[in-house]
Amino acid sequence: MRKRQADIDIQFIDKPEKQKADFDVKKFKKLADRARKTFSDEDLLRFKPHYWAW
Amino acid sequence: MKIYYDSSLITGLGNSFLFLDTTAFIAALNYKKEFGALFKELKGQGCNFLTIPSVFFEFTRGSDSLTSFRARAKFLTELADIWPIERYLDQIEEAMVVLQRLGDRQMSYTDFLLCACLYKFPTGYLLTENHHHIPTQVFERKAVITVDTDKDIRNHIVFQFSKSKFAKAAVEILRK
Repeated sequence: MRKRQADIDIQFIDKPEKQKADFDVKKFKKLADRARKTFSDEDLLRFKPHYWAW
Repeated sequence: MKIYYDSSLITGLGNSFLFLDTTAFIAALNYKKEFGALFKELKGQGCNFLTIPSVFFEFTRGSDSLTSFRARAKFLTELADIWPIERYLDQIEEAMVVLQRLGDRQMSYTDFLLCACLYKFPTGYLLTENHHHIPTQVFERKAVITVDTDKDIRNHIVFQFSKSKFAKAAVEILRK
């Protein structure tokens, strides 16, 4: 059983289960481009491991 | 740009759960062509992608508008299911004590929760670039995925829980 929050497509699953095997690379790239634009280069620095290693 | 990994990675992760941390999602954004191809192969072998709410929080943190937030949320939720490990913390008492003792000072709450996921699903795997935060006294490095860019070389590690390592560590830590 899945719970869905209104308006925003966020789901928490009750237990891990098998997903669809197909993977749409074109859609993945499109969503990646859209999300990437929301990060500045400075934002991304926060996620570099050496940033935390000091 | 090139990506390198042992071809056995694909079959090794077949029909298993692969937890993705925030750095894995960031890598997927930055190297979408390379990771897109890798993810397609993994999916084709029945590998299931999962993550946890605190990774969702880290990934969407800093969004400057609802539109940005939704773009990040959509990317993450299309790629992976979100499994709330926090609901099961009362079932992993031993692991909590051991991981809290073994985790270095850099180990974040998110790192701890991802480690807890591997404890709960010992046949599952974790993909992370923050390999310094995952205690190798309990987890095995199963594979390395190297991304060679013009600027630098980035290593992403696939970890798996080791029952034998955990048993050994637990004896030491929990005997007190």
